[in-house]
Amino acid sequence: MNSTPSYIIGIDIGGTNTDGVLIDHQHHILAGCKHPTEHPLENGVKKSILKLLELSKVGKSNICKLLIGTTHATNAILEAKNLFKVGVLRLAGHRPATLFPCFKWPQHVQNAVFVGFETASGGYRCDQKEITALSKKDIQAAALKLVDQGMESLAIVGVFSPICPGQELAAFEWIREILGPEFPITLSSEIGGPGFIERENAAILNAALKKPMRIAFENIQKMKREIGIDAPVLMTQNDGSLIDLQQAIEKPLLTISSGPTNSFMGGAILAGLKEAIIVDIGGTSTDIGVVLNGYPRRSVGLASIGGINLNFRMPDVLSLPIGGGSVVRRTSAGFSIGPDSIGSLLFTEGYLFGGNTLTLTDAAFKSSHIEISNASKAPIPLEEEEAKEVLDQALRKIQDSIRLMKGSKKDLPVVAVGGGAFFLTGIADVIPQHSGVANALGASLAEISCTVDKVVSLENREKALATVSEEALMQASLRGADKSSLRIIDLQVLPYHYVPNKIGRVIATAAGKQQM
Amino acid sequence: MKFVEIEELYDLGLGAAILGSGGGGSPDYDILMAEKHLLDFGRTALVTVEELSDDAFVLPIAFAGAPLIATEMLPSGNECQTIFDAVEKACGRKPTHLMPAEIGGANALAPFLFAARLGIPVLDADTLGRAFPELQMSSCNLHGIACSPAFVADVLGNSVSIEATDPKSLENLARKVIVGMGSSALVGIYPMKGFEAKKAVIPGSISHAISLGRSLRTSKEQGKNPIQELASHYGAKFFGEGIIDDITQEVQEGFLNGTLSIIGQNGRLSVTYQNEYLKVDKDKETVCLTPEIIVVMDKESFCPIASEKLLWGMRVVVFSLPSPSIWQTEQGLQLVGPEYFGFSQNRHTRGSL
Repeated sequence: MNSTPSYIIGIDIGGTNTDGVLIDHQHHILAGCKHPTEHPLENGVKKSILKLLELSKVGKSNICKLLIGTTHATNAILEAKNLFKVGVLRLAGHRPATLFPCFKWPQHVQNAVFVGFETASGGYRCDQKEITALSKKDIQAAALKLVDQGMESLAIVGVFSPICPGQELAAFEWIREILGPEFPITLSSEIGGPGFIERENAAILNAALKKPMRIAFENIQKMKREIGIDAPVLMTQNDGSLIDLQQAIEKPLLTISSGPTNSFMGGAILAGLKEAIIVDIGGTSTDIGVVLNGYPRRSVGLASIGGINLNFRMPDVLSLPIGGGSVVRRTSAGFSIGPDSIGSLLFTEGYLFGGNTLTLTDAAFKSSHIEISNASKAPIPLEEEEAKEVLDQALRKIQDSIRLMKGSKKDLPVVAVGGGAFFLTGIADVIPQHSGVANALGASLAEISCTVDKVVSLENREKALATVSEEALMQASLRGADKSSLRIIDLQVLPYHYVPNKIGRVIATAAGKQQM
Repeated sequence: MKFVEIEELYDLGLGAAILGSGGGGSPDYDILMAEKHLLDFGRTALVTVEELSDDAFVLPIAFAGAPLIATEMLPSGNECQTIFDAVEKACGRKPTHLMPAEIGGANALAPFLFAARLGIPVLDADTLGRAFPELQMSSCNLHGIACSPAFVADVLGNSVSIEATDPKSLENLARKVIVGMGSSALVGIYPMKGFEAKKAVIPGSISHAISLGRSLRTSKEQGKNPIQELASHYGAKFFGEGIIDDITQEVQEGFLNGTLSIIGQNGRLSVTYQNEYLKVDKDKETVCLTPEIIVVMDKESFCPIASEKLLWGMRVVVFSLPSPSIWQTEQGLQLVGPEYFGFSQNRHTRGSL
């Protein structure tokens, strides 16, 4: 250890903006900045880093970590560009013909990604017996067949592999023997939990994303060296925890949805609270989340990316189509707000900025709820009373949703963050300083965590829960979580019923602070 | 006779999830499988009980085992063929019509995974009018149809035929066989002639579920309050809404027993379940009991939530639909009433469908 002060840079690469913060070891923000996101991504990241160094006057050599959260993988899926062509190998001895891979996927994603699938003997039953045994010869032949069809990356999906990954690992070794150690292979058991179709979807997307994410991450690495920063790069995952760049290249799907997690975490930290409702108001939408125990509450339903179902647990977000750029229209019954928004065009198209689209920001200004220094002098086509009505309508919806998210925890303080945080003056208990870059702060302070998702016997329930929890704690610690702050942040039990042998799915997540 | 379109499969799944009263498993995968079956083999024909000829041979089918296991070990698609071969051996002829044994939950879709490929129609009926956990809980049992021979087939093509003296024995034997098959199997029970089906089945169950699902979907699409729509057209009774803040549950003898607690602005609701939701209490007073159909629905998506998918923190609405009329008789209540599930009966059930 040396005694020179060390600093962390956190960057959140969103679809519209790339936000950055630079913090010291006591988590004080020394600088924050916002730039439009650029393509290739490293250009915007580079500008942010240089700006942060300039503002904070911190030397490059004192940066000890670069933490990045990005929606790049999500956008790559939505745009279906630059993806690997994926072949699927199912290990399922009963050869299910009732559902095939990529069924009901959006056609353009399927066309961009899927070359074909093979079903080989194998798979396990819930009682961990093999459905049928593996055949090395068949598995190697299937892989060669998929290569002939144009496969660039392989996804292996075995029945009940989250309980028994053995067959997937064996198939992996046999295929490497013939396709070489460099051929990209994704094992479903390393990407998702029980639920064959969602796990297969996740494995296919992960296999496809290995191409754009490798390029993006390697370019960020290169850019970082060019500007003379020696610190390691870490990525934030969907659950708000960190993985290193090499893992992110192998499991890019695990980074798809870190945005809301980072802004909720960042909001709570900015407000200095462990338990809070965080309301993130941007140009297009308002995202409401709950932080409990210092961590965002997880959602209970299935996650879906671009119309493809996945079995990840994402942060529990209640999204309203209400933002500063929401378009306001007169209707027979009064006014409608959104759901469409002019987003970042607000600053040219809104009345306040000399344009001619009526937005929520115009209504808030007209009703004297907010002040804007560079407002245009052009008249806003709303009476003051009407402007109040519009604003009240929007705020009422947000308040109703806050109440719903609070549930029985009526005393949770409300923290507003995001570009439109000032809209919530009078509703939020806290509008912290730097609220505009809460997401980048969340990225920079992400914890190291690990989720273990297993199907186990619940015959001795307490012991089973303890065993799974223990494994999560150990894995998080191995990944570098600080022991003194290490704890179980989430433990869910889903018993399998109509089965007498008391088995169930246990999901435990452990997390702890980064070691500085 | 009519043909079932893709959109109707989705409405059927949604309606069946409501009628499941929390049980019967979530139909998400089954809807997809039914759609694929339709794309591969064409639309399935649906016939009414009135159209059924007396010498037809009807087989009610259902997937049995744990619903969550079927989402990992998917059906092969050959299970019904396996059962048909066994039926032919035992009865000398193959079934001419399939029907869902239960309309509640995933099993409403079961015939639509096989019928078009087998080239036979589905009978617009079921034998429960909702979901219940045991094989003896069937309108066929109430009407004296023999439960045997019964047939169980696994994903690999194995099958077992069971001759049982009574439905409760069949339940016990079949359960053992299903576990031995990896806790996921297709069963065919109460095989019956057309004239028997006419008196023993609940007619119109599939159309009823489709129209229930359609009503929910269109009210969502049109921005109406779905509960109000279900109240005015289907007799739904609203109990409250809020966030799930406690769940206690355990699996006993294959049944998921538990209570979920919901805190809302207007007090506390608790729902007791044994696979299916069976009882609703509002601030400690019982307001609803089996065999009324109890629905716990996601507040935002308006999707019914199956009991195996309950989690802390869900935002839900709780309401009921009237019980199918067959369960409101003395005999019916003996099979599926509050006392069977260990609750004391101290209030009247409501009017029939």
